[in-house]
Amino acid sequence: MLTTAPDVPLASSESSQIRRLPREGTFRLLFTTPIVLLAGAVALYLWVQTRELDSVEQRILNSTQLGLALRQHLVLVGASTAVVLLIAVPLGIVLSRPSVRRIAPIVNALVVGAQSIPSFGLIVLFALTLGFGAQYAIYALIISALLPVLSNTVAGLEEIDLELKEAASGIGMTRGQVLRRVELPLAVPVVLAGLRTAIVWNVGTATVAAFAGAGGLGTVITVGLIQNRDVVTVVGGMLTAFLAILLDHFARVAQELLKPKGL
Amino acid sequence: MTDTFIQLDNLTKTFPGITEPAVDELSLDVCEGETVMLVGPSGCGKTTTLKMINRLVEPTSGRIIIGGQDVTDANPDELRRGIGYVIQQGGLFPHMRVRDNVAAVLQLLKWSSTKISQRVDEMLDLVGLDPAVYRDRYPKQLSGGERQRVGVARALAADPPIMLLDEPFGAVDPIVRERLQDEFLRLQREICKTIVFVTHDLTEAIKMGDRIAIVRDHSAVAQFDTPARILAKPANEFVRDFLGENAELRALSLLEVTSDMLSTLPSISVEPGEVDPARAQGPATVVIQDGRPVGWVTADASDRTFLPVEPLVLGPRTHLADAVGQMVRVGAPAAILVDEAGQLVGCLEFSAVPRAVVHAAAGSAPKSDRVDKEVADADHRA
Amino acid sequence: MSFSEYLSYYGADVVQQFGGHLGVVVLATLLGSIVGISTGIAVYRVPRASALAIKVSGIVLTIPSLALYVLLLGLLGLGWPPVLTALTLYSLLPIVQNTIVGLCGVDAATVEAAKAIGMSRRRCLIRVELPMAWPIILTGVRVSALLLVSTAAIGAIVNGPGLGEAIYTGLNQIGTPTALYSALSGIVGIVIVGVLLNFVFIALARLTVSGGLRD
Repeated sequence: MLTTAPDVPLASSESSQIRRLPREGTFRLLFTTPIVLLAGAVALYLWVQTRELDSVEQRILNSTQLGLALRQHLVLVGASTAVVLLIAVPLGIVLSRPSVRRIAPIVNALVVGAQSIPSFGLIVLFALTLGFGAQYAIYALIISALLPVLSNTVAGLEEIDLELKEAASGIGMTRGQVLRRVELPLAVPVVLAGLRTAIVWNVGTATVAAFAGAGGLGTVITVGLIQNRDVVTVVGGMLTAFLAILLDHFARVAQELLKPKGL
Repeated sequence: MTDTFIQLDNLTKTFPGITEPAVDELSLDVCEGETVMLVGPSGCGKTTTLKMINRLVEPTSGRIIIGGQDVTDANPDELRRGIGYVIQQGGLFPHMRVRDNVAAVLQLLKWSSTKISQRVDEMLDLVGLDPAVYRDRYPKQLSGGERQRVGVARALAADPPIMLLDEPFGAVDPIVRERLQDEFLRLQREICKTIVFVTHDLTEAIKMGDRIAIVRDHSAVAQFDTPARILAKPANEFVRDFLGENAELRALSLLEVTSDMLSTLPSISVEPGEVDPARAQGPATVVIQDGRPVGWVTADASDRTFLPVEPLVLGPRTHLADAVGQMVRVGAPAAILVDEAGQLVGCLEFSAVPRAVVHAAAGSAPKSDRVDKEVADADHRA
Repeated sequence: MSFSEYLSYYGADVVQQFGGHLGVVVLATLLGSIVGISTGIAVYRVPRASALAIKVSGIVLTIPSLALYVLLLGLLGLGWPPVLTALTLYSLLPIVQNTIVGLCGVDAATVEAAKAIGMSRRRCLIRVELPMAWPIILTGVRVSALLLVSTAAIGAIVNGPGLGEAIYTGLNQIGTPTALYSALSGIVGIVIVGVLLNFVFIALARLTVSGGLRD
């Protein structure tokens, strides 16, 4: 799991003169990706049109079916991401408190082990023990995405300069005030980065959730694989990729817009 | 003053995107074995000038001539291996032990490993660090002063004829700084390198330099001369401002007391224990016991008193400031100077001090034409 | 049948899959390091190129693994080629990003000191910049490797190597008593691979990171 997402510079190198990566202009920021994706989608559509689709392919490659798959996918991603945020952020705050930090080494060892649990494995495990369907798949998604957001929140809060916190307490802020007025605003970018990772990760895991009967764009891929129809597989793969890139794009825009001024 | 060793000829540096040049047609020469200080306010271009000497910054125009050879277009890597460079905070490589840091240039010059480790120990010794203790340490385990010493050791390792120093003692506290300065002076007496030293600290410049170039905007030279002469005769308004108030007083700590400044005042000999103020002649008399002067007997109208004095030894370590200090401390009209054996040589009267300053500042060595032109140009531009 | 009985029957398979999993992750990390670190070294001095390199490798990472495996099928067929390729591509972002950030983060004064001594650009890179950036670069490689450990699991769906196979088998055998065992042995095996690799990286860091740089 990533501890920093692509465009967030590592915070701690203030003393040295590191080269900052350039910030894109607002237009480019908002529109390049969607435009490119749109072009890609159009190209895909045209390509499909050039192929003679047989009945099997036609049954799945139509707007109703694809639209359904897309909606299911979005539900899976949305539900699991929302719950993850609700759990991970408060838990992250708790875990970063100095009193709790003493158990950090043990937690770290557990974290590495937990990070290696394959999301595919969780999906299958839940399907085997609890049953098929979207609901249980969402449980699996929540658990698999919990860790990156959690570790990012904790890392982000810990990274905030100890001096900064001491300065804030020094001018008379209570622990709670230091948390609210200093730490959280500065941790926002890191939490957002974790959220973005979670979204991207969930889109991927939700694809595999198709195997657990949860629906989603993964079903297009599985139909293509099982029925051995390349067109279907490619369409399924491309659409999933487009969705992932688009959602990541939205998350990135949110990151840029919600960044506290001055960072 | 011997031959010119480093010659900067109309050096100009303009950074891209900035209209004003950082260094504008600077000409300067440094003689072999001398220490030239570049002093000036922040941002005047002195560091840029220094970096042009070893071409860390490439001049936009102008020539650099070292040891008679034009190195403006020479291979910069090779050039730099023959120049020692010391910066603030040492610039040590944190991932290498002290011995590897010091050996860095030697490895580039492909010395054998036995020669290298010998030389490393030699250099550490030279800068006052016990090789056995410091050889294997990492920079992060050293204090600021220790890091600077290692930086100097590294710069000296290949025995380069030239050393460039950029505010090397700026990052340490004043006590350590003074110690490092004294040691550096001692070192320079031993090894006699040609040194260009950048600093913003006038006191450091006066202490360390054989000649000082006071530099203003765009690295224009306001005055380039020995510390004593600059202090005694500031060339223009800028230099006067830069020196601050009572610059002449600083000259006192630079100028040695010489025998031609002394005069003979009446003296009396006494036996041990017997000092009779009544025997004073004139306003003050030197009291000599066993052939050694021990103090004054003053004869004021109101009372006659005996003022004991620690005489100063005439020599390179005794400056006008020491003499004036003695006079002020004791309340006497002159300072007593003796030779190595403690025998009276003469007295420096307070009234003789101003004349001594002016006379010494006028100096006997002629200024070079280059310097005169430089000062005239600077005045023109000012 | 109990879990231990299951293992005694299928133990050999599990071990083989374990080896396959470890192997494909290590190989992909290695390839990704070669490509990623070289790319980082090539672009770190140029901010535009650096941003581009990070962006491109980031986009690849965004693509869900199943989708990428499936899209590579057309070119590379089933089995380990698409999985190895996809994993190598996935490993790029943390490595490229950390190489760039690490190299750019080297104190400018130290680099200048190296130049002042007379080191050529190349020598400075090899003797000063890379060693100083190494802790960060190694962290990037470690993050990549751990990422690949769980991502490799899904490769089973395109007949890729590794313990994902055990999980997939478990899914297909739903209803039988061994289904859960199979899935569990896959999951546990993968976790062990992850923990093992983490220890390897810790040891690697001890061995290769200079004492002067360790906290």
